[in-house]
Amino acid sequence: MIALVSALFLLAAQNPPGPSGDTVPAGPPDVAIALTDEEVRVTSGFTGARLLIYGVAPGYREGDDLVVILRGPSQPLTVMRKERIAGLWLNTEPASFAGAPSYYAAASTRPLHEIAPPDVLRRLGASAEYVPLRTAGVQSSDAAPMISDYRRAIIRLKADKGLYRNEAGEVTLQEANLFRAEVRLPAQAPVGDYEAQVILFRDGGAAAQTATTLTVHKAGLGEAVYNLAQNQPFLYGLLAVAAALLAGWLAAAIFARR
Amino acid sequence: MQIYLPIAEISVNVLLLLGLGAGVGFLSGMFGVGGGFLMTPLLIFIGVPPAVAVSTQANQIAATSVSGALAHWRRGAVDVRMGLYLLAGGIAGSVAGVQLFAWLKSLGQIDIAIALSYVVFLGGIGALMAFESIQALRRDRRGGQVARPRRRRPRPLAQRLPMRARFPRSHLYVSIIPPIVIGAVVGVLVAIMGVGGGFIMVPAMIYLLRMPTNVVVGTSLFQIIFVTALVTVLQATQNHTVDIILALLLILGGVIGAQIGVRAAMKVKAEALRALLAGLVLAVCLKLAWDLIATPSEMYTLIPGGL
Repeated sequence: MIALVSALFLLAAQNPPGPSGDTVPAGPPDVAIALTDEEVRVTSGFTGARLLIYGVAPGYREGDDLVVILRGPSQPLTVMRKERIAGLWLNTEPASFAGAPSYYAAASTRPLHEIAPPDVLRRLGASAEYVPLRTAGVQSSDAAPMISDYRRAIIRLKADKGLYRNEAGEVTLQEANLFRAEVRLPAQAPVGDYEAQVILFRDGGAAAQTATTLTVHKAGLGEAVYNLAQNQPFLYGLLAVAAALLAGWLAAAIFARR
Repeated sequence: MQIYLPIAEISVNVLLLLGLGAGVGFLSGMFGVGGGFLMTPLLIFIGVPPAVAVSTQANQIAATSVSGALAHWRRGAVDVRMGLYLLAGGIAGSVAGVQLFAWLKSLGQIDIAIALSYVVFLGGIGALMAFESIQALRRDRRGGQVARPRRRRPRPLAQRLPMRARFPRSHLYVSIIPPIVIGAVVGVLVAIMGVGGGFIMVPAMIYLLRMPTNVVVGTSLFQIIFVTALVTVLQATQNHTVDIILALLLILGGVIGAQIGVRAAMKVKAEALRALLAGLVLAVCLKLAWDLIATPSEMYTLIPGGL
């Protein structure tokens, strides 16, 4: 589905390093940010939406990289591991995570591993591979040493559903240091407050960054059904039954006549 | 054409869902079975989460049982009094079943519980059907019916228990305890497996209650309407697992398939097809069993929410 032009970032990396090869910015660069619209209404189709984010990076120089990260509302999550018990694979050893982003996308000008070394990306949380996940508690003591396996499992399973994604090459620079980032929002991605973060990388480090919140709304039948099921479950159940009874009665009436 | 199912949270081809509905509807029209016991596993195979498949099936069966019950009602083939006693049990059973469902869901074991109960039931039904159709085919080959020795049937349990009531439509004077217990067992099955439960209720009515066969199917359908409607509302309220869009697509396909099935049943020799259905049931059962015992490709499961 198409494109929602919404967020306009102004990313101004001040104190641009001199041409002499001075690679580290002198201080924390001032960052200005502006949004044209803080509400994003996605007309969700049946397969998801593409979200467009526009911004300006006045300090951008040749050789710099931009990474635009979009994080969905944080949600508690439980991971269980399958284990063979009496011949059957059962879910065992649950571990709860207090907060996992429901959605995470890192769009970048180039593949992330070309932009910065892994430890920098990990510290910034700037890759779907390094999404920070807070544990809430491990029910079984056996699960404690394997918590990093659990983290990897969350990231793998979310990535399989398209909910955690790296989109290399989806940030493109246009004239006058205007950049455009495009991320795919699958249909399962929830609505709510998203954090949008932009990082300007120079020589393998973050030279400037800024973040803002934008609210994602969805329009469309699927979303309406989902909202009703979550917010008015009793009414939803009655509607489901009414629809079924009506359909059954109609079918009987139509086919009995023939 | 892909459609996104908002509760199941997957995208599926519309034609595939309509086709599934029509195919299972055809079989149910042909053999007079509900089809829930086939549809739920098939939905699981195409990627619908088992909990959503079960709850949505309850919703679909409400639609198909209305169609069927109306046809029987017109012929006066519904014992309403018996249906109400079955329903009383069905309400208790389905409320308990939905609680059990929610508890298993909170433990993260609902998917496995659903698959396991299907393996047991499909295995049993498939074996019975296969046995029956093999016998029928043999009888055909030998030509003509083999006279079975008539045994004296013992007085049914339903007449020995207390709290007897009259059921004029069925010409019965039996205890109300067996119908309530049968209804309750079936109610639990509706909640956990997303089946109408006719495949248990009909034989139970014939062999345990000794109801006349001409009112058995209508009465069972009458009861199924209300129990599946109740389960739909309870599952939607408590577990948020009813996918109305999935249900409507399956209903649409199912209605058409069932009508074709009813007409086809008059022309085609059913015995060979019954063997085919038995084979299908056993194949589905084996696939489910295999998925439970084979080493999974993904060792981890994500469950929304904390435990």
